[in-house]
Amino acid sequence: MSKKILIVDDSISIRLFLKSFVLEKGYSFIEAKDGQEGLEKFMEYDPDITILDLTMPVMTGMEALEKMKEHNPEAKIWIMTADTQKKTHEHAISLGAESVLKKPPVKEVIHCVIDQ
Amino acid sequence: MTPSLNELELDALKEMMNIGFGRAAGELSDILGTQVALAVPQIEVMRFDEIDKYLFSTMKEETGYNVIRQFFIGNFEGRSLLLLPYSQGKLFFSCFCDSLEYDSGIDIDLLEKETLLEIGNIIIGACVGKIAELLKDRVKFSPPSFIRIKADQILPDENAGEEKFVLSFKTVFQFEHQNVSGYLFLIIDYGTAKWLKDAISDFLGQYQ
Repeated sequence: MSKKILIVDDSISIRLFLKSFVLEKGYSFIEAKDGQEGLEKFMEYDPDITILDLTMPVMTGMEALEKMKEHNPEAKIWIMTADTQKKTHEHAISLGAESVLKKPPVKEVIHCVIDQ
Repeated sequence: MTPSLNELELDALKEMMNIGFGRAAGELSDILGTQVALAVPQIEVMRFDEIDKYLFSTMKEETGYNVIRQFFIGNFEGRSLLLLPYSQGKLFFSCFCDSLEYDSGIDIDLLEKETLLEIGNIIIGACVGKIAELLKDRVKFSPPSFIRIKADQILPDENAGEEKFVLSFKTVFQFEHQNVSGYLFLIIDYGTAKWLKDAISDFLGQYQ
């Protein structure tokens, strides 16, 4: 069965880029436009990998990450952000993120992440 | 006629600016030694002659603005104005200089201007530089300059009469103890607006 990849980002263009990277690998693509919708789809679809933006309306990526990890501590969740600050990255890791990816997304990096 | 960026192009531009603000926040954080969070930026495109009305309607309570102005030159070319309302400028200044012990003879007003000028230089450089880099361009910057204008004054317009457009970005920098909001206006002419639209279209085209 094909892997399910959940992308949570308020930017249509970022979702579009990531969609093309995911579909190129033949995986299933699920998208959400904010943290709240992302959390709902996370619970509904139980994705193999989630890539989560941080700065979003309605619910931030950090809040969503915390709730997702509460729901499933084994979930593989990657943060993707424009924020370059070490403290932000450390906070995300402390909440259980696998690691932090830089924006804009790079195809080879995303392929490495979703192939794991 | 305002250059017609469609929803996807506007979103891409907003995301580029978001990445630029992220870089600026990182640099400010390094200077302050504290975390600087960012709010989701808002973007609007308007004609230059609409700015004053826009400011009046969005910042009714403000008495005036600190303006940091810097020109950028390349294919992506124009003038950037970072507007910090007086009250926000004071907050920004206090985030940077509260821990300093002032010499009694120091000119605080001058220190505030110099601090805001440097902050403006960082934010403009990070944001405009990032947009140019993502669109495969390289820009050079003029030295920044600082002016103060009252809320009822109109923004100065070089090359008045020429048709110009404004890309307006609003964001909030969230420091440990306070939030500081400001506007970044990028003022471009019709030729640059057309270049920008084509460059964004090429940028998006890589993924379609």
